[in-house]
Amino acid sequence: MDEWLNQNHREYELMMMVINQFLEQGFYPVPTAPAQAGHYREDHTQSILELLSSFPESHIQFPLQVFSLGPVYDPGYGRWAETIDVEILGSGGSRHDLLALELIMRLVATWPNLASHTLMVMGHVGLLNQVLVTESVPEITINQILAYLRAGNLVAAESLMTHLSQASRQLLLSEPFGDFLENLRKSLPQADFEHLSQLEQIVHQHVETRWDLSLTGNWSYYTDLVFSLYLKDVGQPVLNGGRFALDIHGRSWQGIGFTLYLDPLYQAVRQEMGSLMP
Amino acid sequence: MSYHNVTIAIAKGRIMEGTRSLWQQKGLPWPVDEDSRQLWFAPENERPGVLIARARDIPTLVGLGIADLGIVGLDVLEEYPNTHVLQVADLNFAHCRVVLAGQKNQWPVGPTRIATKYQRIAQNYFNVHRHPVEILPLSGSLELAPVIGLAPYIVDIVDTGNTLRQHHLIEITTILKSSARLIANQSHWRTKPEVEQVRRTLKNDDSPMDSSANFGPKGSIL
Repeated sequence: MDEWLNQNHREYELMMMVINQFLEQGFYPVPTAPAQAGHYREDHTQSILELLSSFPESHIQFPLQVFSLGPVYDPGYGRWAETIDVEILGSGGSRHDLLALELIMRLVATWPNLASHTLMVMGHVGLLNQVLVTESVPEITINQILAYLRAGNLVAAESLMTHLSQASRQLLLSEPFGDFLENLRKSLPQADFEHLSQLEQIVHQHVETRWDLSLTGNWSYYTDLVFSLYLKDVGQPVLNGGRFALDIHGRSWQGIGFTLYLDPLYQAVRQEMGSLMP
Repeated sequence: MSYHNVTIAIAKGRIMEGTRSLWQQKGLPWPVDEDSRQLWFAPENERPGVLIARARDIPTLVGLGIADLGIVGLDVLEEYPNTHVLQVADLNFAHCRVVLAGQKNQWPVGPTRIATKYQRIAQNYFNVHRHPVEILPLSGSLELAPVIGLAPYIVDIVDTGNTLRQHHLIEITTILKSSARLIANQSHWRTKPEVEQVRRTLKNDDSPMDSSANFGPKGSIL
């Protein structure tokens, strides 16, 4: 029993350590309910924004940095996962993308071995959309492709893209930044390459990165940059996130956020925790 | 390329028979002894590991990363969706259809009871067609339902249609065309190049999808 109690203790310590990092960096906690109106929470973002939407717009100062703590229901497995959901809200756009990635990398750098065991995959829904428009794919087909990719059905998505140029199709491969850029320049010369290079630079100095436009995130509210930090050889993401736009009760929200999964994070850093806890 | 770091979960039954045939056709040593009850075969350099499980457990095993890849019917993936896995190839065997069948070749009139083991597929189908139905979940012997008056219609999987005919049932419409799909753990697909190598090895050249398949990691990343 002692082992079980100690493990729970250390998992709790890890959660507090992460929360303290967010508090120190000016994030405010937002208490959200794990279930509402008979539905289990599968995502914090909507719950956070519903609470914030109850305040008059004039009362909110942007950028607003918030986080929500607690389990989300995973219907795929019928189980709950302990998470911390972090949001930077406001119209900061690409500047906030950089802020979010810097925040994540500061967290990764807390545990030196974590960086060597993880790999960041970055996608970009906005770029994929632009590539498909440039390739004259009709809007209705673009929406189908995005829906298939969100559902993880690469076979069906691919069947709608067989006529795309080789360079565009290559963008849906998991590739290092250099190869990805080379193909993107061929398919979309007007893309914001400077911003993409800044994103790459922030992440790559800490963890290995790949770019893959088939990564679109599971939620339909993602509009641009999306990312997943994977634990190599474990098969679980440590975090997923991206830039989003969402309408809540007629009010438009935009921002960038990510969900941190505490169980895989604990598995990855437990060996290092003893030496790094205060 | 060595396969010592890759495991595939394979659904029992028709999918496993088809996989064995495809596996041998691609020159991979098939480890499963049909007379044995062994369900786990560790990976070796010349072939991936094999884990044999019930069809509906395959997405869970792959999603959790217990297996890197899985082979399972599209019908199972549609009935038990799992956002943690990616469908990466149509392997073009184990073809079958999920159909609506009844004693007459007639679309249901008014609210109707449907017996099925595909509750989600059936409910989604009738939702799309805005037709009110009561789904009666059954796990087997569906063909009996109309005969014994349990439900006038069934939604079931058919291969040749012989079983339906033997029970004097008529296919009214096809709801889903299914075949064996190769699925991958999202994380492993994007971080382990061996996983893409297995897809390339197993892909069926006759499949129109696979001739244009274009996803997956390129080159070594580890």
